[in-house]
Amino acid sequence: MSMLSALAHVEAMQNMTAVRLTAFRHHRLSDRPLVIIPLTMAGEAGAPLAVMAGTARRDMTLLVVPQPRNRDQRFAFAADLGRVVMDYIDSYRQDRRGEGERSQYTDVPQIIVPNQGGVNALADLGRMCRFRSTTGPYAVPEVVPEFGMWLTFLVDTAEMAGTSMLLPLTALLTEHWATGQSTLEDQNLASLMAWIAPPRGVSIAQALEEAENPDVCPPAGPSTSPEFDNRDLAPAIKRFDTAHALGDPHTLAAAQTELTELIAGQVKPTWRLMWAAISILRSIPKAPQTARRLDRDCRLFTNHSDYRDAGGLPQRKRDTAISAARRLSQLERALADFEAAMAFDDPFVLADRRSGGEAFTGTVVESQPNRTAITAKNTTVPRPRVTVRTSDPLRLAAGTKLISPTMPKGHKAVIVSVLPDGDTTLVTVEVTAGMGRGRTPKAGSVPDLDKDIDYLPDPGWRPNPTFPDSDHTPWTHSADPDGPDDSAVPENAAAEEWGHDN
Amino acid sequence: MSDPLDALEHSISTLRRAIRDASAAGDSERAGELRAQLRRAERAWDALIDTGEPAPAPPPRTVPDTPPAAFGSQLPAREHVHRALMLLGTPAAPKLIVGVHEAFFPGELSASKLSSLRRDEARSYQSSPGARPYYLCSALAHDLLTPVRALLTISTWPLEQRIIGPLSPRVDFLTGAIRIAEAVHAAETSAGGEPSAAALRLLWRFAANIPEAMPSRTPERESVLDTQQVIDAARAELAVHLDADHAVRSEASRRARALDEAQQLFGAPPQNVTPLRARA
Amino acid sequence: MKPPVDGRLDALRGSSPRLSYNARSLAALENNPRCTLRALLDASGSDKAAIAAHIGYPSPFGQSSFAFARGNAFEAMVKDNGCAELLRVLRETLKLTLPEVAYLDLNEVGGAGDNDARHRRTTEVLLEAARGNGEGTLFDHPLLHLQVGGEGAFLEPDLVAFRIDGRFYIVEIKSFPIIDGQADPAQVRAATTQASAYIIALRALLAHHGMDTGAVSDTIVLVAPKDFTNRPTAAFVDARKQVAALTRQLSRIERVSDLVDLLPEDLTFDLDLDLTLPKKEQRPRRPAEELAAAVARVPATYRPDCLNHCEMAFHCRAHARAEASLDVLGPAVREQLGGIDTATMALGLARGQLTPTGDQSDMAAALRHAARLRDELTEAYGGAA
Repeated sequence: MSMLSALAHVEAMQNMTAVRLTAFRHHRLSDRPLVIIPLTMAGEAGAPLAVMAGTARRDMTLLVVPQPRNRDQRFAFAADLGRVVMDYIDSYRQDRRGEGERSQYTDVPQIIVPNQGGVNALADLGRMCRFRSTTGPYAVPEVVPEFGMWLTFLVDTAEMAGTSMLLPLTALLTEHWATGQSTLEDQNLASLMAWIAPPRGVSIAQALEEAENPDVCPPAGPSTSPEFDNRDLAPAIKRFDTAHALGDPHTLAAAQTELTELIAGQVKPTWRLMWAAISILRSIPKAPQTARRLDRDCRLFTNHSDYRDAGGLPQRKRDTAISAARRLSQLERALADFEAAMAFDDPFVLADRRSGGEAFTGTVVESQPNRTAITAKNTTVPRPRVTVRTSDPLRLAAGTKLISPTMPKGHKAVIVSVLPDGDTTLVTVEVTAGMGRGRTPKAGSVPDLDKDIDYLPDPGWRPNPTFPDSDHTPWTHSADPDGPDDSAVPENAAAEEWGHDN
Repeated sequence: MSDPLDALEHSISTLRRAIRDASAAGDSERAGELRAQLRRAERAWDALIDTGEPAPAPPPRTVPDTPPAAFGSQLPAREHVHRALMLLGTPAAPKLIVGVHEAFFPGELSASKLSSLRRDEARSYQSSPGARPYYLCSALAHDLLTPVRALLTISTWPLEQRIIGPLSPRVDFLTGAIRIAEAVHAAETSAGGEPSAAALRLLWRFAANIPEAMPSRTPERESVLDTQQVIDAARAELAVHLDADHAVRSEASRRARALDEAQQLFGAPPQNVTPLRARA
Repeated sequence: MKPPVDGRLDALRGSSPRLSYNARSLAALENNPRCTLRALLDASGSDKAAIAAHIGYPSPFGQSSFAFARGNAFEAMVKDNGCAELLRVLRETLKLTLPEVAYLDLNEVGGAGDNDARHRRTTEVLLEAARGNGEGTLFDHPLLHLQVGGEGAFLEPDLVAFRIDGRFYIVEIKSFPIIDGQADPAQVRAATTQASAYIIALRALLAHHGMDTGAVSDTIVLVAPKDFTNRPTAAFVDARKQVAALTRQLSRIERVSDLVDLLPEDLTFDLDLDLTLPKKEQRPRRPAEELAAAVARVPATYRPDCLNHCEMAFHCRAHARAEASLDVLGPAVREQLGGIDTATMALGLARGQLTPTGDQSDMAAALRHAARLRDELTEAYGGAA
């Protein structure tokens, strides 16, 4: 966290209101996002309880697993949800543009879940589904493994900064606003929204209190509140089991309706809150480079889609240590690019970097616009130098390559020297690119005297990562060779242990 | 507030706050009433949504599960249990008894029916000892000869078979595996019959926990259990434990014969338990 | 035997019965060890949940019956049929030999479940094993005992396994899954800390009888469902760090007198329950304001993650908020603003309304710079949301 963000949180706390952290929204918001609220059963990972999903506030589907311990019901649920999600995803696998290698879809799906827990629940669901067989004694519908592979793909992209195909809403909100509470409390969607847009007629302080009361604001999942579990859900599931054992269709239907209503009561407040949050987020202008990131999303989406069309195998259970390290480096790269792009686009973010000494703004106090240098190939090229006076607490060293949002596209420079001068710092930079092909720089490509200018590091320049030794990884990180999914061990082998109460 | 949906959502929030207040005040009756009101309001919200964009409600999913068995013999639970124990030939917990029953016999038997069985049997024995041809009774701990938690046995078995020493749980497990494998094999070879899916699953769960009992992994997903391989593997491990277990059981059964008959069946009373000592 | 400080601790708790430690509450000591309030409430055996509720912050900690049922069902399944599944995974991890299958059920002794009898029996059989005369390999729910701050606490591991080479292993059976070889680190940590309490208690037992405590491994065996199945798998977890940390916390409790000495003589957290009534009907008779004032006299070290585990956390957060303490915002902000305690001071320095002390001057300069940047932005783009 930078000094500026820290200060924003302090202000939010002191003034009891959310404080803006960015000028723009840096993530794309689809016109037709698929909002999904997954609920799971306490104490058992991968035991889905219910899901509410839909592409508009007024158009949602609630799917419920009446007895989450029953594995057959689990996969029937996965198939139902899989159809909803695959219909949605397939609607983006229609329009392609470009030829051959460069052919790609023009838009991508976007799934929004309430919080990081929602992403994790989808990750579990994806892992549970993608290796399932559609033939043999424990066959599942065709859609189940397909759905699992797509979920896994989406969850993987969600780790990559700047992508927008699967997003937790809390992350979108905290990117734009600082609250007067901790990161932990910001994970609670209702608490977060209490700061940003408390319910009509309710103060932020009151709204915060209500956000933590499960009677007013049931948790946004994936876990339900223990009170609800014990008071309402457990008895209702028991009634369902009893009705099921009796085999009377009327009692069974009644029990199922009751269960569905109970769960609807828990999930709907979050549903409404999510659409309220989305509509607030829409009102924030989107950052210029959002379009470029959509292009990357289209590329990723198209690649996976083509891989699926070609009948590709499910994603491995785990990367090997080396490929995990490689992926990590890709993620770091994406993060660096995203952070740079945000700072480039957004003066708030730039200011954030400035307060940490990772960027600077100043006035040009000296300029040698006609300076040239001779390259190794013995050609003369323009290499103008300018000196900028800044009062920012600069921590960049000579040799750092720079880009500037205040200069025309393509402008690049490198720091030549950094000299303290009283309370300020004099930074001399050499312009290295963006000046055209001529022997003299084209007009406007070199900062003029007295001009105010922003510089930040060029993310294009990064040292090569060194990968860790693959040996000696603790068991939590070790990777076995990826075999088939324990072919001798059908997951259902112990299913009857869990069928019903005993 | 032009949107009626907004208005309804507002009153839903108000209701939720009222529920919180009622709960906080400990007024659970009022909270219950309010919850009912809340459900009505939520239904109204659903209705309003539906009028906006009529979408047919998805038909309630038929629950994919085996239909409850309506058929089956009307044998009393104790007969079912007796039959399952005879097949196993070892003391067993209710869960395993139900598992064996479902794997090999028709009719319904639930674990909940078994919970009071041992007490009923003891009562029946006390009121007229020996009136029944057999009783479902306890397994006895080798040291104190007290009843062992949860395990059921049959009164007609020799005492040794009903004693539980430190090695006996494993010995009984391996013995049970052999008996189940034999029963599966019998079903396989009987004319026109084949073992039920439940029987194969049961055998699988036993075999998976015995070294060398599983077929070596084959490329195809479903590996087929070989009942003879299970039997051989179980016997091989059994040979390791059998003598030591037998020594403990026979020594304990000699002591047990000094108990009165009821105690031999249902266990010695709790002993060696001093009253709560004051703690330092 | 009791150190004199115990009288003071009893006075702090007042009339209520002492809550004894269990593995869970011992494991919780590792969280936020520097909090004086928590240390005193725990050491005095006070009922934190009841105190928090009485002063207006009922604690939201409940366990879902589903989680509870799942935990029990999984443990039972692992131990069914002569611990068949458990033996399989322990043969894989601990390399138990074929003959090592002997099972001793310590859940009860001769049909009775009283703690002292169970503890005596546990002591007897574990010592026999340690001396090499025992026959047990699997000890199901042994009941261990540990002295904590002069008070006894019973601790009950899921299972202790004894290997033929003379080593004891604590086996923790948990129902969270190990998916593709990975488990939730937070849950693994909590399980390990809990197991550390058992390791310490088992070592104490051996030490008390003059035996080598090294016989108790500081590696625990975690048994948990594999992937999305119900089949157990097992993994070793190194508990050395947590054993050391917990040992340190336990010795802090022994030194709680240092803390008690700093308290006002008359301070008490007494709820003044009417102990003549049945437990369910007992209501605190002490005025809530008075109790709140007493609690407020003891310094608490609030951190947002207290909300996950301490019953007093909501009280402490309200206090921190009232004092505009930066603790409210959590460690990320705290670290950035090192040396500054309150929002008021941070903003005062940022706006140049407060004069920084010598060691605050760098921080103040950075704050003023950040404030200037924010002001510029607010002017250009509008401020609050």
